[in-house]
Amino acid sequence: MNLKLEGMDKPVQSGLDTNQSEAESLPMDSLKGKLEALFSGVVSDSTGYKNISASEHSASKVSLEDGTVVTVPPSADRMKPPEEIFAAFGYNEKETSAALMRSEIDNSRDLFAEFGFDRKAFFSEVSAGPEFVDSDHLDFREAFGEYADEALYTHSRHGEKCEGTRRAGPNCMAYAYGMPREQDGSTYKHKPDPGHFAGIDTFHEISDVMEHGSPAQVKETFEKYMKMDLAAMGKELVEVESNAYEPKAGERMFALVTAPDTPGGGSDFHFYVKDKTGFWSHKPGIANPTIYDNAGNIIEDPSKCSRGFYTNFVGFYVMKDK
Amino acid sequence: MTEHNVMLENFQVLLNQEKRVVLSNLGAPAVLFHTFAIYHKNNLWMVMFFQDVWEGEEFRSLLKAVSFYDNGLNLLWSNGIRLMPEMAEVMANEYKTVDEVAAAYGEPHAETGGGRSVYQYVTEDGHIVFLENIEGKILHMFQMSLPELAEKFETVGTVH
Repeated sequence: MNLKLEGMDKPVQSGLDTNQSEAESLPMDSLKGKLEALFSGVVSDSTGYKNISASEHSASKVSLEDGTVVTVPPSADRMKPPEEIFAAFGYNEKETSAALMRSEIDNSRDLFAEFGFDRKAFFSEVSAGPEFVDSDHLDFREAFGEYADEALYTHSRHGEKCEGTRRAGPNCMAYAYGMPREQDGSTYKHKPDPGHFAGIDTFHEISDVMEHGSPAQVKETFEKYMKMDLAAMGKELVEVESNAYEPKAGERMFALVTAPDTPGGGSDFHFYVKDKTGFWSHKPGIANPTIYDNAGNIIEDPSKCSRGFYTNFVGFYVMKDK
Repeated sequence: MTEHNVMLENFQVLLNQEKRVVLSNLGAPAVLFHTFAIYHKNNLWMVMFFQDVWEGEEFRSLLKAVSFYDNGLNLLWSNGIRLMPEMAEVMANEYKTVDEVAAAYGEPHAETGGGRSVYQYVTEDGHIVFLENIEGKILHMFQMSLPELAEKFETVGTVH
């Protein structure tokens, strides 16, 4: 491999990296003009764009040759600095420098295009209308705020408490049960399994049944421990027939799925929660809750959505007071 | 558009775009995690990294980074993410905790496991290193190459 590290002691100059550095240091106006040209008919490229309004930093309107007007996303109208690009993974300055690593490829090679990336189709798709959860969906927003609270999570780095690094906290099941904290109000020391709230360690038993048991055995085992959990909370578990069930006041509806084999090794389980607005959401591990499935689509029915490795759909349930 | 910036500009266009739109444009990946999508096409591998974020008043699942490899799993181009070094170098160390790994290589690229906890890192040589852990203590550290992952999980990991 022919790699280089920018920002390190002895950077090896390469064409692409030099270009990268130049591009990242371009003045905003210069880049803006460049992108306007990119999306405009002035450049005789294969996209067929002609610019009609790309003068502001807000979303730009671009008309295609067939007369269709599409919106160039605001996030595409300026070059982001490395600090902004690499912020997603919470890197510090040293790590960002180390991350600016490239191998040499032909300067004219467009790897995105080799995977079929089509700018025209892409912007047409963007202009087709975004899916998003806005203030009309207060149920999820409230739940998101509750479970995104950093105080719920154990944070550490170099063995010390810090911000931004989650090691433990409420998982999908805690979210399904509506339990951001342990019953005594303390934070979770590890992800709870079914049976946790009844004081039973089921890690090995449910792993074994998910990996080797039949779907009926999986269902039986999970239901047994979920019922014990809910009994410990003064609630009961009732299976409901389908996604169409509308939870009544005092009921919390969720769906259970399992993965007999995961890339992480062994098995796993996962829950989805239906809120009062009819939206489904879930909490992938200790990440924040989300309303999107694996493919990035809003979940309409967890028995049919893109679930990745969670191939075994177990059932729909409601929990309610006894 | 100047030729030499074609990769960077494509990345800037795709950066912070919605997962559903990106996947719709590129088609079904070979393997799909909640956090990343793995594509294999034209003797190339591409790993795209996504995060779910609040953006103003909207909640979105957005592209944050991308890495390309050739069929020999040599890194061709990467942006937005600090990749782990080559898999063998990482696996040679007997890390006991996630904190030790994070101190050496930065925060994990993804965490999967609804009930279980498995952190993941993508390496410079096209492998994914998995850290199965409880409370940050590593129970099991292992790796799979992108082709191994695709072969094992392509039937269940695709969009459906």
